[in-house]
Amino acid sequence: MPVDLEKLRSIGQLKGGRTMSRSTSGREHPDSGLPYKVTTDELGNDVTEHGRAGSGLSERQDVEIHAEPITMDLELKLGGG
Amino acid sequence: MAWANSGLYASTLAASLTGVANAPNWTATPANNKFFLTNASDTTNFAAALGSAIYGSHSANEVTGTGWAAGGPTMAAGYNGGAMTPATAVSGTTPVYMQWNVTNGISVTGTTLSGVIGGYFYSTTTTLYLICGIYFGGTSYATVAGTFAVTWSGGTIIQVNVATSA
Repeated sequence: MPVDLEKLRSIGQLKGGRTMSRSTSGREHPDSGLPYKVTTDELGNDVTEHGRAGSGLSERQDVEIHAEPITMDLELKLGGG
Repeated sequence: MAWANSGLYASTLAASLTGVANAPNWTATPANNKFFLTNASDTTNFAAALGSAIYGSHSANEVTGTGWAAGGPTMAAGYNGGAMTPATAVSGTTPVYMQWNVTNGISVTGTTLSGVIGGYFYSTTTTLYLICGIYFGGTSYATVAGTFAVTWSGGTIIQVNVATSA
């Protein structure tokens, strides 16, 4: 049976999943707050832009890194061998 | 090598375990432990031999800016999220972990920084020993008059799996 190479190439591709950044936006206060836009990148870190309406944001920018812990695994063998 | 992963400085850990003079103490002297930032040109070299003024080998690529002075903040001072309050803990039974923890992450307001890709905890007790490096990822980050924060899930920065079960 012939293999469809185009279909094979698509295996493992994620659309809009965890390999892509995603953005949310809103206002810091429902009525009078400044608009903001949060972009969470593929590593899970947040970059938040703040600005006045119509300014295109970026008047202020925050960064929050969500760091993974450093993990060490000791090599454990039965009987200490 | 250039930034590619986080890691512990093995020679510094060995110095702490063997009681070398001025070796870093995670909990007893938090005011002496600080965190500085570097750019993508920096090399981590987690295999570096124990030496004096090791912070100096990275300072050429240190990132500083408005609100973030050279050398970085200490673990003892209060920031937006409060003092880091370092602690060690033994956690879990399957497996058993030994952990280096903090109550709060780093959060400094009013910063303007660019090209940040990682940072180092280090001790300023007489000799500047690097404790560990934290890699933020493949993209450098920038703030504009904003907050630069680093948080760890559960406050655990380092953990050692010491046994598969208690």
